Amino acid sequence: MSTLQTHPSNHAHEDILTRLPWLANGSLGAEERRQVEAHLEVCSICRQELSALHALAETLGKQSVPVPDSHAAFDRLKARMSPRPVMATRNASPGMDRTRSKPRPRLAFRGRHRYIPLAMAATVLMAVLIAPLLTQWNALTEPGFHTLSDRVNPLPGSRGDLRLVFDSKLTPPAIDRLLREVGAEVIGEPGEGGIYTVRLSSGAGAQADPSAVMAYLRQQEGVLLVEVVTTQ
Amino acid sequence: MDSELILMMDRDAGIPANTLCDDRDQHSIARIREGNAAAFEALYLELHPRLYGFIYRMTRDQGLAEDLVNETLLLVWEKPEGFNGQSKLSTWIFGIAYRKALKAIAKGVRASSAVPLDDLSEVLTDQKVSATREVELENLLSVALGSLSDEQLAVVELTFTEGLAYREIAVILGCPENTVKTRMFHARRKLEPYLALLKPDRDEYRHEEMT
Repeated sequence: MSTLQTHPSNHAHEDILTRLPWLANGSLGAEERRQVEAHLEVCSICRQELSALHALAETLGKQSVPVPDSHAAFDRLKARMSPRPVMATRNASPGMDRTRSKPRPRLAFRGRHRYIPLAMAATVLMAVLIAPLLTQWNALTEPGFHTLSDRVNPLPGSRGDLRLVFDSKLTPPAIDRLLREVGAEVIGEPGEGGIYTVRLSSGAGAQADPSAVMAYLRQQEGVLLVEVVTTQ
Repeated sequence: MDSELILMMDRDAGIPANTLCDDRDQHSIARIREGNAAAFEALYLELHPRLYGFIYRMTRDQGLAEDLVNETLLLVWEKPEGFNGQSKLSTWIFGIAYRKALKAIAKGVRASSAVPLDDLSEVLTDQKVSATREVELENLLSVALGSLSDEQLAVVELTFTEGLAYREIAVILGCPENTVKTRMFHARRKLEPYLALLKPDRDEYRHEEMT
């Protein structure tokens, strides 16, 4: 049995399983480490996984990387370093901000250019007057909201990709199991917003109707959002 | 917010204190903000090998890794005010390095694995690996790592080579902690055929599976 195979409905086990890499590298906090170690005493699957992770860490540690000389590299960088650039920090003393000590160049409009400020002012005035009208026009012609699949025309029943958002309490193994259940394959890594992009496959386990898959996913606990992604 | 207060809050929340900005970091960045080139050089020499190793393993290109390390640290010198004190100084700098590496990879500098994962599994199964064949194993590991996505590879490297906590990795990658765990989970699945070969008692293990 794979060490990544989990008990079907053991949330606590799956939660611990996903923390094991950081027990293996020794970075867990004391309380978290205590919880994980308590679970390890009663779970042979997690003990096997930890053993495999130790082996992986050991092998990765043996990878040879030819690091160039740091002093020589710094010498190369020094040529590109400007004298200390100015910084705008709240704690900086006034005398440290060198740019502010420089006189700021002033715009001067003379001769035939003397009407330029007037023209600029007129442009700004026009923009202020026209902007609200444009906003109202947009409100009449566009939907008042955007979804995760912006510029997307959902087509019920089509075999498009889906974007999914899961509750943070749903463990990666549980998400993986759910996706396999509906025959979906992850094609987009969850990014900053934790949004998955998945593709419904036609292989074994895939359900025939994407609409049915979406309806099924929406009923599942921990699934916060399901949307079709299709290109226009 | 006062760094001591942050430390106290996070200690209560069970967050390891070694993932936070400490006095040494604050002292270092303050001196760099003042334009102290010696402080910057000390930071450079401390982080250069680690940053180089990380970027090299991401890009597999020595020249590019050297350039990106210097671009990363030059940014620290030019814009130290970008550090907000909410993480370790090195965590912030690794985040800059990571984004620079991703941009370079997007331009196609890192060749993807020459061997598809399915073929790799076959190769690994066919090999009779012994302890004396560590070099071959290391080569196979490179192939296995090449099958990971850039984001998965970063999580694996930062975890096992840099020894960072998943909270730090989340800061570096700019994603939720759960996403870090998810990427590791999927990376482990991809690496599993290789890991099976590392087990010293794999024959017994397979026998156990069959029974």
